[in-house]
Amino acid sequence: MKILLLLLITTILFADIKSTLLHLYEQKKYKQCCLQASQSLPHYQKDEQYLSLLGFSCLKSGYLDRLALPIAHLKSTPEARANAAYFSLILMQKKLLLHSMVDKVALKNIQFPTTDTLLSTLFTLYLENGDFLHDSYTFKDKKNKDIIYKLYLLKESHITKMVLELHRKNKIEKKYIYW
Amino acid sequence: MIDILSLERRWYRYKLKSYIPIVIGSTPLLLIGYLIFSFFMTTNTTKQTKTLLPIQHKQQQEQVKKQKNKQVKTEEKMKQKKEQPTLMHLQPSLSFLSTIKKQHFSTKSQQKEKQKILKRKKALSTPSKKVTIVRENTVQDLKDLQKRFHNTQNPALSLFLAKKYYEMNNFKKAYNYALQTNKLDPKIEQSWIVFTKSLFKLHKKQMAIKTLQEYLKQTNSKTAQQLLKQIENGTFQ
Repeated sequence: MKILLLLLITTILFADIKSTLLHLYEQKKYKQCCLQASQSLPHYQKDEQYLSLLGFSCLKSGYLDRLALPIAHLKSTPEARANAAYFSLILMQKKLLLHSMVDKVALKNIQFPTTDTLLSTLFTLYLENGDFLHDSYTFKDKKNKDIIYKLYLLKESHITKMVLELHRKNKIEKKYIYW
Repeated sequence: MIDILSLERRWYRYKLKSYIPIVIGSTPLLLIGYLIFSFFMTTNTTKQTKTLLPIQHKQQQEQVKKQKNKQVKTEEKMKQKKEQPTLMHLQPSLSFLSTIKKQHFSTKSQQKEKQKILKRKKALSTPSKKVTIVRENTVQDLKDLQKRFHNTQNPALSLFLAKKYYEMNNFKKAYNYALQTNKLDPKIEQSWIVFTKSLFKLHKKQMAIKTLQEYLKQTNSKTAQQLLKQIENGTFQ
């Protein structure tokens, strides 16, 4: 009887964490989902569904550096490998863009796949622009005239941050700050 | 004597040999000159044909020129396209969300089953304890129930009231409430049974038999059949 009760309690707890995280993700509370998933990560490092959920919630909330562990552990199924490649591309684009903008490094003769994220679109536009010396850039969307992208550096006391903005009809629709 | 013939022959050979370098030097010049001449000749002929062609030929040539220009433009575009290759669009896999949902619902159903099993085990293991609820004020309870029925028009409440009044030998009220339940929901068998019993108790035997017969035409209720036999035989009290 006691063993049955213990089993019941453990299954309820395990099911609840994933279900709560999924619930948060579906409600678009990405930051909360990312932080909560990161706290319980040591117990679920081998659970690929958990890692994928952590990865997407952290990606959408802007915590790209937290993608490192999911990238390393997502490897056993084709879906997991696809997600690992997706996360690694985005993280690499962020690092390259930051390095290029802050240290004025020219990214020439580079060809990457792209994704549907704001970071990827700005990365491709930045490469196409070919000018790697400025601290701020403004790009127009090729397909939609109402959309303007802004990429600029934000210099603080100890660190320089990179800001990505998407403007639609002169209103900020998306904004991400990376460092 | 001097051999004049041999000397003449030797002189001819000498002359021919003297002409050889001139010939060798002049043949490439002649060839170049011929090529230049032939090139100029072709341009002159084209000019002449242009001046002599009628208007239709001119239009055809213009069309040919346009087609050539188009071809050149398309070739340039192709070159540009080759120079700017399209980027590969990497897409993630979101199938894990549906698997999490399925797992969550399956665990819920498993939990429910386990809970049911536990409850059954508890019921078997523990002795059954009867809890008796003693109502002291039955009249007040019935009044409350009547109020609730008048507010909600719930046939379950009216059926309960009909049964209660029948037990209390208040057959008029039992008949009334059974009638109301039949109006609200004619599919409740128990309300018809209480209705016919209360009719019998109110000394309306024939009416009770008729209602049972009508009810049996629409349904095959065994309890109704038994009750009808009892009333007809006179064994029902």
